[in-house]
Amino acid sequence: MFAKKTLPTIIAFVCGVTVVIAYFFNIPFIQARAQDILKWQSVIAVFALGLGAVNIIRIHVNNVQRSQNRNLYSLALLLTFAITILVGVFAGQNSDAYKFIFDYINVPTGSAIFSLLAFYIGTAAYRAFRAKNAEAAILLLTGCIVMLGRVPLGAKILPVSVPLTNWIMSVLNVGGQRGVMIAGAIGFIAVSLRIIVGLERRSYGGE
Amino acid sequence: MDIFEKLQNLDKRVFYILMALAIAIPTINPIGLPIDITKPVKDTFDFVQSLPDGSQVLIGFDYEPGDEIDLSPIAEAIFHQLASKSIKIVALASYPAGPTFAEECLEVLEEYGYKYGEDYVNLGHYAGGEPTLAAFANDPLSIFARDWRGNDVSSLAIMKQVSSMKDFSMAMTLNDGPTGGTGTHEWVRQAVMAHGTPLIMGVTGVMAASNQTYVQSGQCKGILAGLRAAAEYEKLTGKKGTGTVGMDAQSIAHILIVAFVVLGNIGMFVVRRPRVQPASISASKPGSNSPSKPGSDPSSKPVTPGGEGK
Repeated sequence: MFAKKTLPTIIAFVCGVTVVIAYFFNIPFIQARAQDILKWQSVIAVFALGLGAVNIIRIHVNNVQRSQNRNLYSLALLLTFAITILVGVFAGQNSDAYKFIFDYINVPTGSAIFSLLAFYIGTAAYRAFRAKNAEAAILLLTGCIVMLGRVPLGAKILPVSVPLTNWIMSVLNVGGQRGVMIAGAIGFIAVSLRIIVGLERRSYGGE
Repeated sequence: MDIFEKLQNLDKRVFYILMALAIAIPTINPIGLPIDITKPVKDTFDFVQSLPDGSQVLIGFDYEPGDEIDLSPIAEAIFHQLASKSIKIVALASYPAGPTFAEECLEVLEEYGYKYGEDYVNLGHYAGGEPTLAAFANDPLSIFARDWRGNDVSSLAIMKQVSSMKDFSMAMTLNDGPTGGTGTHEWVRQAVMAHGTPLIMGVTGVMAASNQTYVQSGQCKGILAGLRAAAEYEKLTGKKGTGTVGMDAQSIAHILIVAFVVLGNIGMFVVRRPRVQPASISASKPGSNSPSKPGSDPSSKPVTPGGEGK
């Protein structure tokens, strides 16, 4: 009970209050303790990375075992995972082998997945941007103006799209974004306070 | 099915092929479309130009391989300008892939005679996001004992001039979002609000909207959004790179999407328009006993994108 509930609450309270005070007030003793806590956090985060790696291996080994070696995606992940770690650890992250993996496998696959958006968003825009009512027409018009105003060729075809895009981005967009950000920040403060005073225990496994 | 109905439901494979061609052809064979300089990019360029010669700047490589095409060209373009002012560069990364991108982008400094450890350094990756950035901002050496190349950070000449975030004349984050790394909001809190260090951002095109607020509030001194900003910056520095080449492809891809959207809407409006027969016109005249009811003509049935009536 103490280790599961009380101790995490005490740690969260002490760390949270110390770091918050250090952010707002220049008290040398508190500043030094807050810096210690932040350094500890970075060490814990490294362990979290390792924990994540172990979890990925565990899940995909289970997948392979259950499918009797027929789950090619999990096999591919485990194989590439092992090769990348071995090359990184033994040959070094600045070695030619590691750079080869990064430049010719990691970056192209990541870019390829991201580039699929051009196809899917394009077809989604074609099918969804229909002026069926006033709201849809406004959305359609705004989307097309911004798309044209953001590229040189679009600006040549429809010169007015550039000032209109700037206006949409700096007035309409910023107004909405500010509302979202302020609301999000207030929610963030509320959740942080609940964690610090021990009312919110789901973040460390409680109810 | 007439041509207007077809316009509403074009085979997506047609779009895929056209999109692939629209991107591939200008990339392989650049057209060289003229690029105008926009105000946000000019403001950012002017701000960087106003930095003291020989000062130090901090650059965060906070992105993953998927966003490399948007953000690495921005990094390279701005490095040309920083190098022309002999400004020293300290790079760090909140994503594991970041240090490798930093290493590749920092190569442009070699043509200016920059020496590793004296004029620039790649500190590598840090785990933990915002709290670790906060610790770095207070005491950089407490987070990085060794750099990406394995050197003792405290022995590097460039790091002897840095004891906190305040020692940087500018911080910049090349950012694709906070998931797994340090986001732009976190940089604003830790660089600008906590230490008063001026911040500029290089972000993906889709992130421009959510970060515009910081530019208007003055918390961010400049924002470079996506490949377009990289192309403009390359024009300002006079060093053409992948940003300029990519703009041709992006221009044509945008025009293609807009063209498809317009065609789809033309198809929808023509098909939805009630097709009134001459007989029904006379029947619907004032005084007629049998006015035609709206929608009684099958051809006037509204058609949604999926081909279903609504």
